[in-house]
Amino acid sequence: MVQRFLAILLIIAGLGGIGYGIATATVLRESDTVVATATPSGDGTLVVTEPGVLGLVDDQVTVRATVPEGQKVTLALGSEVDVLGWVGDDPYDSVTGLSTWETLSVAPGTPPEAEQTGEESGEQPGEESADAGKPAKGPDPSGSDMWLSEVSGETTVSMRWTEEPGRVVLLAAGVGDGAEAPTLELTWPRPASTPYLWPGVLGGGFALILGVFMAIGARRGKKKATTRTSSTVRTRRTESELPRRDVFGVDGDQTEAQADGPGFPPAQPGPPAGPGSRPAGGAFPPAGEPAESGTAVFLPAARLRPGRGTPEPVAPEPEPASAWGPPAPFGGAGGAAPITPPPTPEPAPEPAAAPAASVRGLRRSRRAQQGPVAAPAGPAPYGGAPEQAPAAPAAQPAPAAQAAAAPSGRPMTRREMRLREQAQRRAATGAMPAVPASAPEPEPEPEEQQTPSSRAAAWRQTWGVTGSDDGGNR
Amino acid sequence: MIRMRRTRPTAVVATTLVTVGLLTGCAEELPTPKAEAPVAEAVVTQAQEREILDKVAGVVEKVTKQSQADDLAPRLAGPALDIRTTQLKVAAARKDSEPLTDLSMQMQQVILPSDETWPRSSYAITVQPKDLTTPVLMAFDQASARDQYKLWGWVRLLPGVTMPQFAEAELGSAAVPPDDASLKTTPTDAIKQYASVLTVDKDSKYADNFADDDLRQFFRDYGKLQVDAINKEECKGAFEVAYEPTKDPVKAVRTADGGALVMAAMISKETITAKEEGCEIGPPTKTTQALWGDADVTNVVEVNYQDMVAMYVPPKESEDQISLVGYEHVPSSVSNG
Repeated sequence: MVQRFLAILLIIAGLGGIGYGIATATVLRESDTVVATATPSGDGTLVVTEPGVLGLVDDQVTVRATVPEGQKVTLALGSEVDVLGWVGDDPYDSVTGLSTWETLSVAPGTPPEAEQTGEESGEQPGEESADAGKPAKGPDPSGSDMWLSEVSGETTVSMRWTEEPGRVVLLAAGVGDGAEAPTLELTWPRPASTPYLWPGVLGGGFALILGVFMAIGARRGKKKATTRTSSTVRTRRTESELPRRDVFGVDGDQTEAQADGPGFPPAQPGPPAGPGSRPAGGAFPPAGEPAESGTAVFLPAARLRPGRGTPEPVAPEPEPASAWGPPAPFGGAGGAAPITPPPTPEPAPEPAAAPAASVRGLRRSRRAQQGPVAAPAGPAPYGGAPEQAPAAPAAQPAPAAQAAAAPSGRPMTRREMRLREQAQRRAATGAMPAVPASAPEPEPEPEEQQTPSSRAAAWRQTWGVTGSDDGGNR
Repeated sequence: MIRMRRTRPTAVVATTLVTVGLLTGCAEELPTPKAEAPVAEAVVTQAQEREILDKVAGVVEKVTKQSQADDLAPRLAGPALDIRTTQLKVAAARKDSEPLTDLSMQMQQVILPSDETWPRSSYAITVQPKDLTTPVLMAFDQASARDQYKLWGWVRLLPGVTMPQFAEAELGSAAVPPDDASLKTTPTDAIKQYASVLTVDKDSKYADNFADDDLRQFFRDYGKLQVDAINKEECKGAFEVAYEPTKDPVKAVRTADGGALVMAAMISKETITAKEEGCEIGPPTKTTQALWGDADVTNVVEVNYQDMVAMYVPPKESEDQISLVGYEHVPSSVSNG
């Protein structure tokens, strides 16, 4: 249940992530420009930007200054020193930066020599306040030699500026009688990046896939559970056969499932579908088995494995029989149960409609019992593998084996897998029942034949593709 | 159950990633102004200087054509305004343009200010004028931030003079205050002393501070010429010249070697006297004749000049003498004493 819930959660999160990623690149995409406005606060007629404000968002800025209808306004760009020098002791507003993406922060500017004039010349402040008292007559900065660029006009003027090295600042002045400080609007282009598009889509996709697999897993688990209940009985019944069951006991499961179920007809169509889905979820049980019954089988198997796995690596080879002793209890766990039944149905399904894979696997499982040499080592370490190994031939386990087999001390190499495969195939021909013993070593063929064709064959087997190879062997 | 354990962390990681992605998407930080650190550079760029020169030259050219001296004020100030006005007056009197210094402003070198405070001064040296007179060193002045740069003064460089080295135009050259003590003499004193030297030549107690120069030689030659001419008539001629600095501030700019180029305005009066009774002398030059008008002729001719001198004042520790680099000597009025 939890797993299912998680799966749904993941799917939702995945879809959400994808949706969000796409949305950020479309509907939520930021505007291509940043437009910020400074509304003057003081009673001066001048507005000055601080150094760096013009290039705040981008090197290119468009400045627009607006004063009440009919009044004159001047925009001038100059070095900070020049502009502040020109402003001198007049009150002015300083644009210090962005307070939001739409608003420029404005602070009363401080005249550079405020302290001096304040203390040394006591008269000056008086004069100034007298000046301030009368309607402001905005001085006009236009025409000064110091400006790098300037523009004057009525009501609204605008200018573009491309940031250059240096401390360039903007002076905006309302000019004339009764002038007011202009309202500044700075517009920068902004590269509307879509930084969340791909992370969103990829991350979402990942979560989605993960979720889908979990959902599938959950479903399998459910099926498996039902299967188990029916097979438990048989497990008991066939307990005597336990020894026969080897690592590839899954086949038993499979077979059983098939035997059990005419209700599982979809099982057959499964195999082809399997290979496709498997690569996606590497961690998941190989899908070589029939889609429905197959998946259902693996999951429980995976769960089982820990229990079973322990005995296997330890004693499987020398004493298959004794080693299999432990599995019996697993029946209780539910996983082991299906394993045993295979023997019983074996004969039946084989000739019948059982898929090639299962047949093969079945045989192998027998063989493996006889010659358990190679069998246990590989499958044991990794999840779900043991069961699948036979069914979904060598190659699939192989990659996993390389990674996971290490702990067992006897990693199942690709080669070994192949060898075993070969051995089993031979066994399948029925010519030599005793092959297994010699199989691992004396079969250098596959190794040497690292030709494309042999590889291809291995690949086909790996992914459960029933080609002429298999057919021939059979 | 193992599978559950395995997937859960994965799910957690995935969920976390998605959540973080969603959240960070909402909060893009507001940029803060990153102002470049102030660097030492000229406060007037060369491009700006070029525009200033064009504007000033435009005014000068226009006024020269129209002889409307009143229009000079927007772009000329201080001694330059006075001298140019005088030149225009003299040119009008002479009815030719010879008295007018060529002030076309094709510059071979500009010396830009590095001081952020006002007044600011820049200097420029023109290329050789078309009339093959020597290049002109001009000084421009911006008295306050709300003033424009104006031509403040100029001198014609002495023939063959070597100008001191200045800092790179991009860096700008610092102004030297009139009382700067790092020089052999302060700029103000240098002008005062030079006025003395020009007036009494070798008899000045400051004569040793100054290298001999073309201007002093000029007065020697010119005085001798005048005196000889008068003496030819046995009128006991005498020639003397008297210099004094004006009240205009002295301008100085630092040179690369720590010295200074000093520019200052002066006025001078040359007096030619025929001491013998009954002798009468008239204005000696074409310009003074034009200025003379219909004044009576006496035994004395006094010619007033407006002068501008530029000199190099070496740093204090230097063994060099103060040397003149250029001057302008413009007759402004003439009288019969």
